[in-house]
Amino acid sequence: MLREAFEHAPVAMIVVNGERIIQMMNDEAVRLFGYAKDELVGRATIERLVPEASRSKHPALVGGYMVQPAHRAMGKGRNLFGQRKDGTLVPIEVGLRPFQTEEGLFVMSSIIDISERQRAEDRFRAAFEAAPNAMIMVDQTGTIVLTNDQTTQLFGYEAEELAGKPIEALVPEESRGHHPQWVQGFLRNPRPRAMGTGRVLKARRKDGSLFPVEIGLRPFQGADGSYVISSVVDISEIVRVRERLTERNEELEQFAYRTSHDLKAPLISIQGLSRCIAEDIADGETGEATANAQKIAALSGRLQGLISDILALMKSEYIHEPAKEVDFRRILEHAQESLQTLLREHDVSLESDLRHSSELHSQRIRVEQVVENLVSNGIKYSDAGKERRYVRVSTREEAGTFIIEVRDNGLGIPTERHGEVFSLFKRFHAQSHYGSGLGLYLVKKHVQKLRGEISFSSDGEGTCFYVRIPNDASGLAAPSSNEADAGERPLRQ
Amino acid sequence: MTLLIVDDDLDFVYLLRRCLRKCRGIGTVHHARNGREALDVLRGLQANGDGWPDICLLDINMPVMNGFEFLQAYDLERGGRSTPVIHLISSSDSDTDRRKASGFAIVRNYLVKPIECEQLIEKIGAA
Repeated sequence: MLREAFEHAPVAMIVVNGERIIQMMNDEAVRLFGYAKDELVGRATIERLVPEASRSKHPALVGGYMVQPAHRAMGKGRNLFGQRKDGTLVPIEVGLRPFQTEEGLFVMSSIIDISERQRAEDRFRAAFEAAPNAMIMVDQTGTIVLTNDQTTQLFGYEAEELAGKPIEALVPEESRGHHPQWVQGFLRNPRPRAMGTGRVLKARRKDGSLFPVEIGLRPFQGADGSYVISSVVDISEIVRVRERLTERNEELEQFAYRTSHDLKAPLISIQGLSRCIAEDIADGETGEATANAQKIAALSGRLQGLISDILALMKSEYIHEPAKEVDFRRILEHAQESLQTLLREHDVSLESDLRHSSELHSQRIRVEQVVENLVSNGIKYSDAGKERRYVRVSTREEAGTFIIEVRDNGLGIPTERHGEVFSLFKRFHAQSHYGSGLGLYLVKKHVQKLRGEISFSSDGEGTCFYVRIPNDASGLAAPSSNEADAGERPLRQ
Repeated sequence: MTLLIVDDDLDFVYLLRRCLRKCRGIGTVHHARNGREALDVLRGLQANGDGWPDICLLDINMPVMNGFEFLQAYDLERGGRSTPVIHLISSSDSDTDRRKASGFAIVRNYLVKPIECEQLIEKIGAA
C-alpha cells in the first residue's frame, strides 16, 4: 500500500542512500527525467539527474547534507535545474527529507517541475521590463520587491539598489511621513486607479532632485500576499509644455487687448477729427479744418505703422529663408530710404562706420528689420535739446561673430525701466505716440532666431544697442529649437 | 472754472478742448502728457498763486508716470484740499484698473472714451 502510494504520487519522488545511489523512483520521476527505472535504480548516483555544470560540486553538497540532515527545501534562493536523459534541463523545486532505517540513512526528495511557473514568471518579468514606463512592485509593507530598467534609469539608481528599500525612498521628503498611510489605505481598498488625481505628483531621484510624475496603481494578489504594481511616467515635458501654453495664452490675450486698444484709439480720434472738420467747414474755419485733416493723415500713418509691425511680428515666426551673404551697405541704404521722412522730421543724421572684413551670412529680412527698428528707435527718441542729433551704425567682427552697434545721442532709456526694454508694449517717453511698442520685442525675436544676442547700454548721453550674430551659414534655415524661443511666440496659436 | 487734462493722446486732448470751448463757464484748460508733467503744472499753479484747478480729467495708461502713480503723488501734494478727478477710461483699461481708480476717494466720476460732449459737460457740472 505504501509502496503503491509512493509509485503513484503526483510528484516525482526519488530516494537515495548514503552513497547517493538511487534506491527508488516513482512513475512521475520517470516521466520527468525520461529514464526507465532500471537504468537508474541501484545503478546511478543522483548526479545523473544534476546538470553537467553542477555535477562535480554536488557530491560535496550532499555530503554536507548527510552530516546535518534536515527536512528542508534544496538550494533555497537559487534556480535549480534537473537534467533529463535527453540532456535538456528542467527547472525544478526540490524538497528533502532524511530518514534512518536499519540499513542506514536515506534521503527522500520530492521534485516539482516548475517550468510552467518559470515560464509565467519569465513572461511577467519580460512584460515588466518591456513596459514603456517605469514599473515598481511593492509588497504590503511598502517595500520594493521588483523594478524594471526604466525605473532605475528614471530615478538614477543601480538595478540592485532599489529592491528591499521602502517605496518612500522615491517620494519627496515632505510627503514621506504620510506615504505609508496612503499605501495602507490603498491596500485596504485596492482597485486600479491613478495616484493623487488632480495634483501634480513629484518623485525623488537618488540625487534628491524632484520631477513631476503620473502614477497608476494596480493591486496584485500573489500566492504569498498582496502587492501593488505602479507605473510611473515622467511628465516633466508635459508640465513644461502646459506652463508654456498658459504663458503664451496670457501673452496672446495681452497682445490682442493692447493691439485692439492701439488700433482703436487713433480710429476714435479720426472719427472725432472728421466731425470737427465738418463743423469747421460749416463755420468757414478752413484753417483749422486743414490742420485736422493733417492730423487725420498722421493718425492713419500711425495705424499703418502699427499694422505693419503686427504683420512683421506675425511673419517673423515663419521666415525660413536660407542664410545668404548679406550686403550690409545695402541694408543701411534701405534703412536710410525707408526712414528718410522720420530722419528729416527729427533732424537726425544717420552715420555709419562699417569695419567688417567678411560679409555677414544670415537671413537678410531679419537683419534688415533689426537694423531698421533700432535706427528708427534712435531717431524717434532723439533729444531735441542736443545741438546735433545722430544715429550711428557700426559693424565689426570678433571670432566668427558679426557685431552690429546702433548708437544714438538721444534721450536714453530711464534706468528703472531697463528691465522692460524688450517687452511688449513698452514705451518710455512722453512722445509715446511714435512707437507701436512692438519694435524692440520684434528685434529681440529676430536676433534670437538668428541665434544671436542683443544687449544695450543707456544713459543721459544716449543709447547703444549691441547685436551679436554668429556669422556662419550653418543651421539658420532650420527653425531654432523650441527651448530657445520658448517665451517668444505670442502670435502662434 | 479751470481744468487740468492729463492724457498723452494729443489728438484726444484737442477734441476735448474743442468740446470745452462750447461750454460756458470753462476758463483755463491746462494740459499735461503724463503724471509727472501734471505734478509740475500743479506746482507751477501753486507757485503763481493760481490755486488748484477745479477739475482734473485723468487718463491712466501714460508713459513716464501713469495715472495711478499720479493719484498717489497727488494725494500727498494736495494736503487735504480736494480737486475732484474724473477718470478717462480708455479701452486699454482693464476692469481691475477701473476698480483701482475708483478706489481713490478723489476720483469722483468717470467718462468712457470716445467721449460725447454732452456727457463731458454734464459730468463736469456734477463734479
